[in-house]
Amino acid sequence: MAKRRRSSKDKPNGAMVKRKRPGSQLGDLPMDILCHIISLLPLKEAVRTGILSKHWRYVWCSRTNLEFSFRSVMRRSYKGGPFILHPIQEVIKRIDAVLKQHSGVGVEKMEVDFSLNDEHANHIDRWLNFAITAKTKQLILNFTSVHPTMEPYKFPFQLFDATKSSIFQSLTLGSVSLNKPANFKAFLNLKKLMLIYVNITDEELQLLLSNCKVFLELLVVECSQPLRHLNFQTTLSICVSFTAPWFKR
Amino acid sequence: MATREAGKKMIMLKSPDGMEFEVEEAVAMESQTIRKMIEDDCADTAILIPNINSKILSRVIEYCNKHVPTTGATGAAASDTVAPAALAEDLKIWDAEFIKVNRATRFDLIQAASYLNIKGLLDLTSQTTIDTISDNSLEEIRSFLSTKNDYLPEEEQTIRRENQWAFQ
Repeated sequence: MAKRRRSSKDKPNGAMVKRKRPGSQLGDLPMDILCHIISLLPLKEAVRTGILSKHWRYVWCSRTNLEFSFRSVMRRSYKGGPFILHPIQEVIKRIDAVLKQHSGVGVEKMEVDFSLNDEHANHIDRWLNFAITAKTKQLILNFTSVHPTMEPYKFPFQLFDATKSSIFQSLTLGSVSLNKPANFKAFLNLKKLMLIYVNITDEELQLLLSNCKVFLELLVVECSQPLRHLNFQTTLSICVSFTAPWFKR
Repeated sequence: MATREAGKKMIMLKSPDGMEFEVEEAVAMESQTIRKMIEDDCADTAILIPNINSKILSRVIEYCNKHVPTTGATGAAASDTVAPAALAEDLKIWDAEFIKVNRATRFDLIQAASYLNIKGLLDLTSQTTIDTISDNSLEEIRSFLSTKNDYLPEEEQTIRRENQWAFQ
């Protein structure tokens, strides 16, 4: 409990008289604050700050969110000019360039949102390994495309041993194929799972989640099977369960 | 500075330049750092806030004072009479006015918000800075940040090559 005293109206000590201090530039802020600010910038603009000066060279490399989507990676810096549809190889090149320079620690959220499929599996596996090493809390792999004709990316459960499978707290998977091997236990710390255009049966989903320790929220969007018979031991809320009968692989 | 109302628990905050601010506990607890100190019973007497001068501290308290009714425990009465949407709109306008400060003050506020762990204020001050950086040319950003390009031409070339896509 604070002592009650009148607020001082006295002239302050000499300490605060000096108004113009040299340390009032953005670059002088502590690194964790700069990272917070840089993480608010769109990815492309954050990467550009590396060229400002040597002090700024690696600030963006510690940003906590890595979102790779058409908007963040392929959009032009300036408005106007012709629209260029880059081949998917260019997307891969750009994602790799960012991940190569990133510090690889403290990633809160990583998102890959492009029309990718099993042909690109070796690249996606590489990014997934980065996300695992960086102990990413929230992972979004959304490969949903307007014309889903290609074989979907097979989620590599084999990459996850006992330690690695406890990293993700939130997982969003779009247009991937989930074929859980018998020896895969669970994403132990998963709190939220969102599936978009994923071909999965009640039994498979139940198996996937039955060993989760803290699982809380499941969102199922446009999946092929109506999920009617889920029965979980843990607290679980199914928030959205849209099914699209026309969607058949 | 807060006016004391009957029955409200007050906390004394001291800046390193010797000023003292008496604020309601609920207002002070908008800062997660101070909240932790109070909850851990470390706030027996006045709390000294290092590194934040009285000018900045008074602005921070002003911000917390304005924001406490919508998020704090004392908010119930206020939200009963005013619609939440109108209240949020009012706060937005107030925030926009509040952040009309010079660059040095804004950076001081960012630092204070970070140290005192006041998320709303950190987001407000950071976002305002981001808005200035966004959609400006590199030279404009350098000038805004008072940063000089100290790269050798070949160093700059290397960085541009590594991140070619970001400069297109």
